[in-house]
Amino acid sequence: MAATNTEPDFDYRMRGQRVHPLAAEDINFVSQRVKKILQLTKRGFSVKNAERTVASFELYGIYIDVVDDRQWFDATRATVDPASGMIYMPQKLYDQLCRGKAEAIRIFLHEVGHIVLGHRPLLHFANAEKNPTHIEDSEWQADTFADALLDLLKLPKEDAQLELRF
Amino acid sequence: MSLTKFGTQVREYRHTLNMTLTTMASGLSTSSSFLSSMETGRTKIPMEWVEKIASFFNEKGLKVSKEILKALACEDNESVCLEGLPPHQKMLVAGFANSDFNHEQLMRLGKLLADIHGENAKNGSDEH
Repeated sequence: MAATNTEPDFDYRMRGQRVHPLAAEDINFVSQRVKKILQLTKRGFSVKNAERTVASFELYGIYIDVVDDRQWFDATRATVDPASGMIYMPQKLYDQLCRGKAEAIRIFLHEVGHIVLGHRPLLHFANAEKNPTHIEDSEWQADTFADALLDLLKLPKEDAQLELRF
Repeated sequence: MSLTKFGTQVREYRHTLNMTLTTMASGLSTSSSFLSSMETGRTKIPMEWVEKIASFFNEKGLKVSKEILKALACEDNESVCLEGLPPHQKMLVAGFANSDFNHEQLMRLGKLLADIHGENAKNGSDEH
């Protein structure tokens, strides 16, 4: 379980790269700004509009490179190069994103998070002797950004499991 | 990796037409990943696809210059196809490619060629 922002969480296990620490409230603020500047709405991620919304990120230097499923060897579902603003994802995931699938939107926003939070690996630490905490974990930060934005947009974080309802 | 010059231009055309990558891909009977690979420089841009793409945009009512798109694609590919060109043009291209012109000389030559063949060429020749 994640510790609070003020207490060091000695047992925290990093999932991503160690980056400059950002508290949840700072990340929430960034998500509010992104929503406002890019004029994101819930409707924008509907089946009809999702691909246009995703393409509108290009106006701000955030691009998607759709990779043939057969050429996608990465263990991750998507990946990003924050320096060039390029998000890489397999065709299958891109198609799900265009159909407004909740999990695909969450993955896309997670990768956007890496870009807008300015993630670059930190190679030299002033406090290298200290264990990293969750607020320094690029993966935790990107997840927090995606979830904050999904909450603001009132979008679900998971696709409805229809088969379980019957 | 970032967008190629060709990719940047093509994406701009799509934005102008308010068209999605998927719509363009299905209109050209290909996949969005194939178009994307050309636009981001993951693969070389085949010249026949530049022609197809230019024709596609023209059919959609957007005036797109095949020559400009081809020039951008050649620059991204870092190669120029000489196939089908008349011998003197081939010699000219090869000569330029192997010349030791410096940047300034090339700029001056470029400007001269633009003046000779550019849009204002007609107006210019009428002046004198």
